[in-house]
Amino acid sequence: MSAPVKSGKLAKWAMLIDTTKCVGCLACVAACHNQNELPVTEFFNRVEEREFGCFPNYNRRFLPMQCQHCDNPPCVSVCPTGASYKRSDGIVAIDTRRCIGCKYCILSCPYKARIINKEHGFVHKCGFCAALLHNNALPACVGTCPTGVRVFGDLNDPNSEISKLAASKKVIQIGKDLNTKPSIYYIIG
Amino acid sequence: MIYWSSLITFYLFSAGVSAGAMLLSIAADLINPVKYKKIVTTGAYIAPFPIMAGMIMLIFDLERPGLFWLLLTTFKYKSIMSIGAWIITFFSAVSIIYFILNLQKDYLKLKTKTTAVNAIKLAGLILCTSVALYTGLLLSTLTARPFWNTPITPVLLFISAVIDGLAAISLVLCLKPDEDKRDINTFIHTGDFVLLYLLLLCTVIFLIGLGKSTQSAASALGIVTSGQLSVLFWFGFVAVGVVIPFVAAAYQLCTKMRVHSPWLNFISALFALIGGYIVRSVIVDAGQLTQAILF
Repeated sequence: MSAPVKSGKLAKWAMLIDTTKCVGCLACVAACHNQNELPVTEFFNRVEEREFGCFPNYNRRFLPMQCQHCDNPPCVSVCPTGASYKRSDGIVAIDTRRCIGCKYCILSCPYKARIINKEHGFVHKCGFCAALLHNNALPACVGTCPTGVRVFGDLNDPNSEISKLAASKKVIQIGKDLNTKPSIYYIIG
Repeated sequence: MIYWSSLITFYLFSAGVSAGAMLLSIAADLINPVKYKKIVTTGAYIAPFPIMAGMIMLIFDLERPGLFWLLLTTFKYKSIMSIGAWIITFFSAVSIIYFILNLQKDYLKLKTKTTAVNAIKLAGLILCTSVALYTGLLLSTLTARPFWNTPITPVLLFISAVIDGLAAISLVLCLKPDEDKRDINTFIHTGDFVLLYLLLLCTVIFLIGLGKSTQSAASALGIVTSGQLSVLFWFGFVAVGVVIPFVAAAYQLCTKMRVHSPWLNFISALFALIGGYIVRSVIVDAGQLTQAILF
């Protein structure tokens, strides 16, 4: 897949996860762990195993989960110090210097995307590999996926692959009824 | 997983006691400052201290306690926690002034301006209401936590806070059993009866409301009705926190205040306080152990 190219305007980063292609190899988890130089017990993403439907229309799928970079992020609105914030390119980020470790954001997140850094006490999570994006590279989990589960791009660019896929009817957003407006789209199939 | 430990439960409880004691003190002062003088002064003497102990707990529950001051250099109007941090700061200040005001009325006998005193009372009334309200809203505004995310949660915690304040006042008054306290006992038992009746009502609405709501809410309710918190819920929350103090208050009212057993007062106040702690403990833990079901 080509690198995310910014259209002239400001980007609005989004990801699509096609669970029908996921084989559960956990390469994304390893790549993320490596990219973010995380302690051994801390992970920004995970792959759940979920059952969908009822017999006979039943299937079991791998479901990669991580921060959904919501457009209405509960973690940002509950943060008492402004440590959690929403960037103009759609990324939900954390200024760890301002994080006091009250854990309110962890409790507010329906996706269990936030974790405490045991060494320093701040909360951290997936940041869509903002540093890689800055250098026109894909996030680690997207670039490493061997089966092309993850599509990443700019929703503000109408010609991008993600814009076309996100508009299709197969696509869902997880926890949509909680009014979080996630930036990660899923194909469950 | 539990992120907010029993330190938070203790904080919510102590904030409830402080806010409730202050609310009742000011209310008694408005109703009849002479007849209910003991309630006014005892409430004022209690108010500043539990919440201060609670605030220390609150700071030590932070992963980075050394940075707690960041709460007081920022104001985020969308964050209930940020609003709450400011409310408890102002509440502490006003409750100390109110404490000194009552202290000087009893012992120092200085001259004070009535308008200034009234302004403090008004500020106190607004702030103690805000404290008792925000502690519930802190939990009830999280959509990810179906056990907390009901409109009745803050009402339940508010009523419980006033009950705890009343119980704390009643407990302190029991230490001086020799005085004639007919009027005060009427105030306490009527207050207890009305508030516990409302708490009972809120608990029933809470249970039925959660049970008949979404799948997430119904399964969250399961943790207290039949799951790992069921013993604490039925014996602690329902029996010790609501039913026993309610029956005690009703009994003391129905016997028309002829028997004022200080022991019965003492025990029912103690039960109400222990129950108040358990109510918060169950709510704080159950909310954290359950989550919105996303599929």
